[in-house]
Parts: sequence; C-alpha cells; structure tokens
Amino acid sequence: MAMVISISTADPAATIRSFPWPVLEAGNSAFPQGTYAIDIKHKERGRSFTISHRIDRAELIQRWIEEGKAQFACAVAAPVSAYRELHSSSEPSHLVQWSPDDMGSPPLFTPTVVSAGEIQCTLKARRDGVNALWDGRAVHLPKGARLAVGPTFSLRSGLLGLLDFRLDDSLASGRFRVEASREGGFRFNVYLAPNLYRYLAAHRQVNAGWNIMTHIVSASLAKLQSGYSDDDGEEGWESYPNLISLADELDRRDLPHWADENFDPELVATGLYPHRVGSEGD
Amino acid sequence: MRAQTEYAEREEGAYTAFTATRGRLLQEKGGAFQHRFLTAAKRSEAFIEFMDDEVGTSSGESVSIFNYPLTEQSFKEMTADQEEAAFAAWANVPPRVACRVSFWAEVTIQHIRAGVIQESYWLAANGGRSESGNERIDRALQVEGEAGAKLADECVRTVLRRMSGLPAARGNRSVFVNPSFGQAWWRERLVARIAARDGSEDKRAISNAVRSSRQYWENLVNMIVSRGSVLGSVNVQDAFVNALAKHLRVRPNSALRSANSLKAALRRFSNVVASQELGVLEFNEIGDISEALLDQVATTEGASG
Repeated sequence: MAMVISISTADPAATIRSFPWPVLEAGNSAFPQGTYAIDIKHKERGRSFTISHRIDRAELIQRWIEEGKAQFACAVAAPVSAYRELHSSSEPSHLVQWSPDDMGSPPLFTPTVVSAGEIQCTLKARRDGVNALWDGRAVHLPKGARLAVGPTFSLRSGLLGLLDFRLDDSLASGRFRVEASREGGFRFNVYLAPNLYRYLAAHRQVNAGWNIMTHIVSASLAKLQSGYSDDDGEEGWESYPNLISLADELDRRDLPHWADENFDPELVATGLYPHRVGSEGD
Repeated sequence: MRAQTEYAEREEGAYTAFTATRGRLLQEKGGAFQHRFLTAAKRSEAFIEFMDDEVGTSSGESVSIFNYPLTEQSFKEMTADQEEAAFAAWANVPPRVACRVSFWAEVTIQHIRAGVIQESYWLAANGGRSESGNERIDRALQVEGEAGAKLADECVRTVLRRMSGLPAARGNRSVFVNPSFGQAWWRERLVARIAARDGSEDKRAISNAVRSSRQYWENLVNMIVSRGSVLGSVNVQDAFVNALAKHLRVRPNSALRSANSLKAALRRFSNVVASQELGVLEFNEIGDISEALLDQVATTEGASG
C-alpha cells in the first residue's frame, strides 16, 4: 500500500479562488464531478518517491493529457531554506527527488497538472465535464496554466504530526487510549476523555500538558513496536512514507526505531520529548 | 544513509539550552537576566563565558574563520565584497544548516573568540544609527524605570538578531536578514547562483539590485521564504531577480528603485503565479514575463510617484 491523497471539488477544506479557465481543485466547482488523486510510492528513503497522478470525470483535462497538451508536476518546497523545485513529466507516474541538504524542514509537496503550452478552446459542458457556467466560453491558457491542483502535503517526520486528537465522551475523567490507523497514510487516533481533551487543547506547552503529550507519544511508539516492527515490503511500516520519515528522524537523532531490538518506547518518547519538571511543588 | 557533514552549532531544538536561554532573555523586559546578558556583552571574554555557560555547543565541524578585517560598522553593514568573501569561505555549508539560527550563533561566537569580531558589543549596534554598540548597552543599563526596561529589551533583541537571528520576532526570514553573516551567505548565494546561469546579467548588476537597500532585500526574502512563496521555484526566483537587475541597469532612475515599488511588483507577480505554474517555463521565458511586468509597474509607480 502507498499513501493515497484524493481531492474532490466538494472538499470543504478549500480556498475558493477564481481562475480565467476551469481548474480542478478542492472548493472549485468548475468540474462538478471531477476528482484528482495521487499515489505515492517510496523510492529512496528521505530522498525520492514515485508519484502517480490520476484525474477522473474531468474530461477536458483528461483529453488534454491524452493529446499531450498537459503535463504532470510536483513541487518540492522547504520555505525555511528558500527551496522550491518543480519536477514535471509528460507521464502520469514520475520521479520526485530532493536532497536532504537543501531541506531546512521536512519538505512540502504540491502535485499539479499544468498546460504544456498555450491552449485556446471553446468549452462545452457535456463534452468537457465542466460546470454549465463555463458552457460556450472561449478560454486562452498560457503555458504552465494550472489545470488541476492537489493538496500540499508533507511526509511528516515528527511524531506529534501523526496524532489525531479525538474527544471520547465514553472515557472517564483523565483517561485516554491510542489506536493506530492506516487510513490516508499512517496516523494515530488518540481518544481523550473530555477533561483531557479540553486541557490539552490549551495547555500542551505547560509542564503538565507537555508530560501528558510525552505519555501519549510513548503509548503511540509502543503501538508501533507491537504491531509494525516487521515489514514484508508490501503491507508493513515501510509502505507508509510518514513512518519512513519518522524512522529517519529518529535515526538523525541517534534514537532507535520500533523495528530495532533495543527499542524502548518510553526511553525514545522521553528522548524526543523529555519530561519537564518545574521548581519544587510546580 | 549517505554521510552528511555535521557542523557545530549552538544547541537548538525544543527545550534545549539555546531556545531556553533565548526564551528567558525575552521573558522579562529589563529584568536581571537581560542586564546580566548585556553586561557580559560589553566584554568579549565575558560574553563567550556567558554563552558557554548557558548554551552548549553540539559536536560537529567548525567553519573556517573569516579572514577579512571587520570593523564595527562593516560588521553591522557588510559590503558586497565582504559578503562575497563570507559566502566563498562557507560555500560548502548546506542550506539545511545555513537556515538555522543556532548555526549562525556558533559562527558569530567563534569569530568573537578569534578576535575577528574584536568586541562582542558590536552585536548591539543598531541599524543605521551612529551610536556604537557599547554606548547603546551603557544607555540600556543606566536608564531606569520603564524606559530603561524597554531599552534593555531592544538591545538584547538586537544582539540576538545580529548574532543568530530571532525567529520568535521575525519568523523564518530572520536568518536571511538579521545575522550579519547569515544575511551575507544567503544574499551572496542568490547572486552567485543567478550569475552562473546562461544569459544572466553581469554579477555586479545582480549584486547591486539585491543590495539596493535593507528593505529591498527584506521584501525579496519575504517573497522567497514565506510558505505560500510568490518567488517559489528556484528558477522563478532567479529569473525574476535577474529581470529586476536588468531593469535597474537599463533604467537606473526607475521607480522600482524604491522598496515600496518592488513590493507592488511582487504583488502583481503573485497574481500571475496564482494561476500559472511558472516553474515549468524556461529561465528566459520567465524572464520575459518578469521584464514586461516590471516595466508596467515601473510606469505605473513612476506616474503615481
């Protein structure tokens, strides 16, 4: 399995922008039925992956792809070190690579489909899969015009970035539990009692909140150790780019990871996020 | 994993010593810790001792010491030649290291230790003011009450900015615009990269453009470093700045000499980038788009100015 990210125009987490031509992106109704999915397969840990783009039910873009008028691209960016590089290809599956030396922070990736040259066209709603609002409109696209824009994502290397906090009314005061989830890349669902949920929402940086987070990290690492220490190359932890990034991050910090024999979840958790103690009585 | 060179830097990261010390320094305006820090900054030996006591150094390779004579003024505002020499000396430092405040803190402290920065109080000299760092620290330590606390706080922030950058106040762009050595490295790196491209402007023209003024450089950096950066791809950065250099060379009295006009041009450029991925275009194609846009903005701004 690989990481799959899909957007549809119904995505509520979208920024609505207007373009002088129809664009397939979240929140844009130009292609009412259109979807844009990408599939990531790891190539070289922390340096490259193969990305596959797939457009469905956006006939205009699909036709332009077939006619060679569109190309696929993925931007790799690390703004803190002023880095952004675009990898483009006429093929829907292509290599995206980067050098860790250029990355001041974990890289961000933005997949896109863009026009390979100038395009002039008069749109037909039924033929092109565009919203009726575009029917009969003549459009002129410059080279590089964005046709489909995917979400910006990262291969999260920090464990805190893998945690999804969820309120669980059924849990008694002060209790929590952690579940590993394979949905949409690897995640940890952290179910929290109402009082813990409210407390952590506001107090993760004070000593008590920080130490609870360390406990949650420790529990999450224990899940990795018990369920993901083997890898068969297909369904194991190395099929999740964000777990690979996490393993790399632990490696960089001279900490073992869950497949290592000397892995102690609590020792690694407190290595990443040491317990904080204030002055006496604090 | 391939081997990477690790460079010595002041300890950085969540709750490590440098972060904690910086946090403490910014916690209480005019407090005892700020006074201790400023008092130490008056003498190089004491300042090094303070930093060594409060903040450790990670193990790693140290960069070579800058062998160019510096004065308080030239450390505050390095010349193009000095910036070029700084980048040449540290060209092998990778961007993943050069974007870290902890790295530039260590580099600056090494230069104080070696006497290249003769006095640590140079770090307290502010912007275009004529007051020396030493005088400024004295004033901050002597003035009492709220005004004194404010002065001390400003002075501490200046030292931190000049030494390493202060992301707490300026975000990601801090290392690009605040520490003297950091600014030199990033600015000259951009100039050298553009100058190495086929068909680019003369290096001096590019250098003059990005060094038009402090604000000018900051405006460019804002557009490169921010998360939704306008001058995103490296080839877009290069082509736009090259077009800007050409514009300023051909039209020396252009309205685009002003940092505000540059800001207006960058805003216009962001409209283009919103709908068009310029990263797939060739360097000269992006250059053509940039030149046309810069001419338009110069005309508009010139007329309105």
